Amino acid sequence: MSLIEIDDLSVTFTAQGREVRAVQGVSLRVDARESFGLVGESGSGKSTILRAICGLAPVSGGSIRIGGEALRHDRAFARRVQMVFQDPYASLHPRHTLDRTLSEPLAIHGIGGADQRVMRALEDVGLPSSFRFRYPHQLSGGQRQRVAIARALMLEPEILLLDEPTSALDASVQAEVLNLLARLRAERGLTFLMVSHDLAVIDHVCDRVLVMQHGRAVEELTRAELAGARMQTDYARSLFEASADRLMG
Amino acid sequence: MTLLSVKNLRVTFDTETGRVEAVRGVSFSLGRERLGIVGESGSGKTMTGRSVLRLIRPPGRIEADEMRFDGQDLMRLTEREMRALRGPRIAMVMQDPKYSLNPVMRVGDQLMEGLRKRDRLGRAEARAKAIAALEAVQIRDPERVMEAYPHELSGGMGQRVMIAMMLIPNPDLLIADEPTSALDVTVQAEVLKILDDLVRSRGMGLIFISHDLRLVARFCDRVLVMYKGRVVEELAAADLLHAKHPYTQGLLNCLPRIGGDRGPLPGLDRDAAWAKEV
Repeated sequence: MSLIEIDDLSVTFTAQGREVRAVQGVSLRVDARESFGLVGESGSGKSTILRAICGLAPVSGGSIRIGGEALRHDRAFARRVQMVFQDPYASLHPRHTLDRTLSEPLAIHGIGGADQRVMRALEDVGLPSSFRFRYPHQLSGGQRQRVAIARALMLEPEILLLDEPTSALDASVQAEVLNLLARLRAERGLTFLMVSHDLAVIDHVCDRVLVMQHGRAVEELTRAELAGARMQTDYARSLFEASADRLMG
Repeated sequence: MTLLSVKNLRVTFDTETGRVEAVRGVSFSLGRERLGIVGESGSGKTMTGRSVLRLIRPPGRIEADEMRFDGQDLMRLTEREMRALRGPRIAMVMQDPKYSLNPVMRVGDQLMEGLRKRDRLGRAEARAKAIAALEAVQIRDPERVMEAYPHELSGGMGQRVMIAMMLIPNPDLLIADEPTSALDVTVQAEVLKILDDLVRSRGMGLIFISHDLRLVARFCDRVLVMYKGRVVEELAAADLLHAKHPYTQGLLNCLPRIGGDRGPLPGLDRDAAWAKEV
């Protein structure tokens, strides 16, 4: 049994009487401790799948199961599954200190020892303890993304949903955040479901990747197939060819 | 032929906590070619680009031994004369269409605003020119895009609209500040191709500002690598893989590669000595 099982998932948004089918009949399996990537252009539905798992998008068909159980968005879910969003400038409350941001999930879940946990969380993501009472505007983009990762890990979840966690960052800062994610995954045995439009980043982080286009699954590739350019579909090949690290020849 | 020559450019901000020097002694010259400026956030690359248009607000100050564009000394021009340059002669494409287009004005009205007010064209003529500009950036249904508000467009479409807008007056020099970093890889390639074709066919000079060294290498003729307000290395884009400076090498090596070994990516060494003025 896989940890995350998504079968024939469809997500349909209705706006002004018009239906937008953002995800159409996508199925995937992610095993425990595996790292799975979703890649595609804007509008391919890749982020919508993550949002559907979190209950942030209207599921119109199919099923999502975590650990064999049908999805219920209760507190137990929050302790198992957490999400890191793309834009670290938008995902942290601008008027909350890091201390408040990081201790809020503990307060909601009635977990004690907030003081030590916050200090450890900062240390885990490589931020100095002196940052504890700072506000987001006093941090750089990379530091903010570290805070967002620390917040996601406060409840010690098994699964991290990562929505383009480095695409708003500089190349050098991206390297630091990718290294941080790799270390945390190894230390804590986390399962990653990561969305990115950058195949090189997906290849670096993920064991398998699902290529998506216009809300549908196009092709699933293992890491070896991706590195060896053994893709079957033209679309997956065009993404591979357009990938930035191919540009230098 | 030199289109723009900059000697010993400095941008300083006097803040409550002391002077901050964002750009410290940058010199370069540019013909009708494509020059890339690369560096991390805070390296001064955007400030260098904005200085050319004198778009730095107080308390920021621009100083330079020389900043000549097409025979005119940019440092000595009046604000009124600068306004005549901005747009028609030197244009700038900003990073994020979400923040650079007016959110409450239809795309068509934004495109036509300059044509109507600056060039004093009639409505029909301005509209025809705006539609032609949208077609030049390969927007397939320009009529619909003209009637759309910016939030109704995707990022790639928004960025094309901005490029179209900047190219309408046919400038001699285009400054593109991270024009594609808000876009997907496939869209990025398309937008760059459009930009490249337009720059070539119109014989413009281009300053391309980016933090992505690989992109710049593919897209430019020459590259300036900036670190803490200084140019640490200048080289032909074709020679980038043989860069000598450890900072340039670091910028290249910190990027993941398809089929790489997945080990920790090398962090970027930052040596304070590189930032010293020689």
